[in-house]
Amino acid sequence: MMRSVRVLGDFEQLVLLAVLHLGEEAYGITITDEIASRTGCRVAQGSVYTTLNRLENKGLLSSHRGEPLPVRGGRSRRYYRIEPEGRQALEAARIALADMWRGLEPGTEPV
Amino acid sequence: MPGERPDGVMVGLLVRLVPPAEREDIVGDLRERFERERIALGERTARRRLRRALRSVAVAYLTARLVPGRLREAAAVRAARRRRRDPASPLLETPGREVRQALRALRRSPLYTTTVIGCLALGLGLTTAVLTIFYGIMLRPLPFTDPDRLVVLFLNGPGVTRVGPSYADLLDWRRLSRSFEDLELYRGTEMMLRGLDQAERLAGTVATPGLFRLLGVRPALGRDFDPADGEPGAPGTVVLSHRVWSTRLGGDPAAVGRTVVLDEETYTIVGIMPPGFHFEAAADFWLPPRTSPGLSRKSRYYAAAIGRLRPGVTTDQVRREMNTLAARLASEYPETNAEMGVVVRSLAEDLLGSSRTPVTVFFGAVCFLLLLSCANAAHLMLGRAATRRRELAVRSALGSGRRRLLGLLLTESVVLAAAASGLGLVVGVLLRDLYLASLPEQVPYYLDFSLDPQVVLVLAALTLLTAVLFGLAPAAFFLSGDPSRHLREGNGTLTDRPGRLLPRALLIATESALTLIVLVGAGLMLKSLANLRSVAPGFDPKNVLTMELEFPDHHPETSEQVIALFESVPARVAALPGIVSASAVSNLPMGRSQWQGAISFEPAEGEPAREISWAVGSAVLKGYFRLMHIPVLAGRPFDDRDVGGGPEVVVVNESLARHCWPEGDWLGRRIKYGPADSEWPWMDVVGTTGDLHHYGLDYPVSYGYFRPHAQVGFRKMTLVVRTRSEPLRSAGAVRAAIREIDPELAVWDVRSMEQVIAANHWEAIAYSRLSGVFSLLALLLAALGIYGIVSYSVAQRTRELGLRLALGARPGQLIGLLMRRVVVPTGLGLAVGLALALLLMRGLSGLLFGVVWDDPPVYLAAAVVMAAIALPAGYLPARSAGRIDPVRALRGE
Repeated sequence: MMRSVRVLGDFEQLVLLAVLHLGEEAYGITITDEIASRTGCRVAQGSVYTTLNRLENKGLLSSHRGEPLPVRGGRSRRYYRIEPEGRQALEAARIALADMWRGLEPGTEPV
Repeated sequence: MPGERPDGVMVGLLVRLVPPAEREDIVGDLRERFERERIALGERTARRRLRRALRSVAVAYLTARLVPGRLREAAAVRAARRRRRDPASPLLETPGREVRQALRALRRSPLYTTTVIGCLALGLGLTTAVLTIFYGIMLRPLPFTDPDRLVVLFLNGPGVTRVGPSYADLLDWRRLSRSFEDLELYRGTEMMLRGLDQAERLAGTVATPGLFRLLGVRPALGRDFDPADGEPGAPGTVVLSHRVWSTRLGGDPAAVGRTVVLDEETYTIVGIMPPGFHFEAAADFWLPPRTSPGLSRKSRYYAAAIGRLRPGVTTDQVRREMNTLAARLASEYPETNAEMGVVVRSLAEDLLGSSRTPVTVFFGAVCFLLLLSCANAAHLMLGRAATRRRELAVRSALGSGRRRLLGLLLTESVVLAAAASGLGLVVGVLLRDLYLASLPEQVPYYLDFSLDPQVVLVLAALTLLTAVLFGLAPAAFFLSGDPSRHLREGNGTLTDRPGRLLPRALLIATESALTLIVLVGAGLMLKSLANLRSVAPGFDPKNVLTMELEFPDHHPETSEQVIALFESVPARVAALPGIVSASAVSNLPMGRSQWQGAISFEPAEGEPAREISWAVGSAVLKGYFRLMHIPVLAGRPFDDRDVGGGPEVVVVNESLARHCWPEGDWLGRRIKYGPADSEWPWMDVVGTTGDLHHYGLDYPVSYGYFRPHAQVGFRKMTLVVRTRSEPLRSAGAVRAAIREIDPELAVWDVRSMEQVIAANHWEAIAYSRLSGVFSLLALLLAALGIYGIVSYSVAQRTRELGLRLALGARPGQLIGLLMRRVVVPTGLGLAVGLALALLLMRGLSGLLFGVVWDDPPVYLAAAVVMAAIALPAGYLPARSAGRIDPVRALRGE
């Protein structure tokens, strides 16, 4: 039986995972830095925002405003939290990837 | 973030691309990170990272915008980026695609497109029309070989102006002058052509035999005149016009050698001129004088001499030579040549002189109009460029090369120019036709208003130049320096900067000033025409049909028979349906021929007679005064008592009567023809009439007197017929009635009296119509211009105006704000325009009648009209500012 999967892009997965890791502290900067520090890749901050928007539109994330902060010139942060649909989507993506890797022994195929 | 840094582009993009709500979050993030990194990593690194972050946001949002809804544009952007790397890309890569793109862009802003095309087409149309007319009058060479070398010479002296030299003068000139290749004499004449079914009165030219050779034209058929043709006693020879040959001789090539009768004398046709040849006026035949060369120096009956200068001789040189020569002849022949000065004029100047000043004035006015329309179009294009700066900046930021942007703008301009020039040409031809249709038939033959290829070429070039120049000006403006600054400006400035206000104010002021000048000119012309129209001619020209009637010299034989036949005409004609009455006059007022000369009068019984050098005489049939509604002030009109052999009687007009006998009591006084000692009999004054304008409405009334035809017996009279309705409709029936009376009685020149008057004033009519049309179009252009300026101003300031509304400004205040920027420059323009008009209008003074060139009411009216057009043109778009929704204006871009 086929599962209907909402396929996530790689970067969408990275962002969702970063939000999971950060918990209550997930907002634009931290998400970007989280991905950068864990993967060691340079991350385009702009892509993080558009991806967050997209994920929020899909209902995988939700967001709320924090308190205004002087360091931000009196602006508040927008915090993101993962929604159950987000977790399901991540799970589905993980399974899909695992399924795809099955039979390909690590080391036999140069990645 | 200081604006002059290159990351300004990105800030601009950020603000443009990111919705305001999200913008807050992102800007907050960026600020927070920048502050942290500045402490941790130092200012420079922090700033570099900030730029990078900004760029990534801009790119990410831009991409998000483009995909998937604007895939095509995204592809175009990608293609542009690739093309930029290719250094050899031509300006226009695929013209078809560029044009399609330009058409698409223009279709997206129909108001802009139609306004620009409208402005340019109007301006160019006007210029086409006027340049064609201007070219026809000023520049088109006269239809002769080397017309620049043709000059006209005539004499001015005591008591005479503009008389041609005598044949003896001519022979002296030919002998003594070194300037001429050839010199000939000519004069106009009119003769009755007979011998070809119906008699016709023709205009012709009597000229010494070398005229055609001098002009450099040859007959199309047959031969030119030989010197022998002009010898005394030579057989009569004539050359006919192409018109007469084709209409009266059926275009028969064998016509050469046939004979025709002109004024009772037989002439052999020796040649037919080519079609379109004219010299001079509407001549239909040419013949050499065969009378004795008139070696009497006194007989100066030629109109002028015409000369062909040797190559390289200037008119000034000829003038000097002729002055010396005139002085020499004056000392040799003091009796005939004393104080006789020779006037030398180029043929073109002689023919066109009177038309040139007004035409130049109008040409100048139209150049102004073209300037106006270009200014309008340029402003619209600049305005559009300003609103598109961000679009262009984004394209540029995304890698569209300058070449490509330039190509895009160029294509748009060319598309606009092509549309405008096509339309302009149509408008131009229509206007020219309108102008020509408005002219009476009396447009001189030498004016040719056909559309000249050179004119069309000049205009096509002009259009293209205008559009390309003003289309590319914004491009150059945009592409100079760093395109990114336009992104910043697009957002950074809320209000109009002074730099943008000044050109607008200048444009409005210039438009008002120029339009005012055209308006003043038109006002003066129209007032002049109105004055002319309000002049009471002294008779009632409405519903009067006129036609020339003439008996041949020897038929009928006696003048008694002529008188009897003429007297039978009115009764026959009046019996026709639709006719009120008929009569005849020898000199139709404002007609072509005037019988004038000196008369003498007896101041009082027994006192010596005194002379009046100039009075107009007319022989009339009974009923003439009643028919023309000329009032009889005293005494009686002519009646059956006034017959040949009876007492010689005369009716004088009021001016003459008052001049001769200021004490009144005019009846029974006496006048006679010629000087006091002439042999003519005295004539008794039996009546006086009201005054007439004999020479034209713009001439003062002249001394005039009337004689009963029965005592004069002219063979040529002008029939006047008062009709119940449109007079020309009765012409056929009247003609037929005349033919029944006597088939030998020639009929020609059938016109309504109103046409006769109009023929005298065709210039006034033509110029006032022309200037009326011009001023309407100038007003339209000015209105379009001001409307466009204010609309763009409102469009560009939507956010500012919205903000003002949100802060509590009332719509009326906003409208006031915008209107101040119309009212002030308009007022300024009007002041400058009035001053300029005062300087320029003097040039029109020769054309004006009854109004001075600095007539204050006209200037005032022009200013009022201009203001009355400018204010609504500004108010309409300004009003829309009051309807701006502040919320939408502030939120959206």
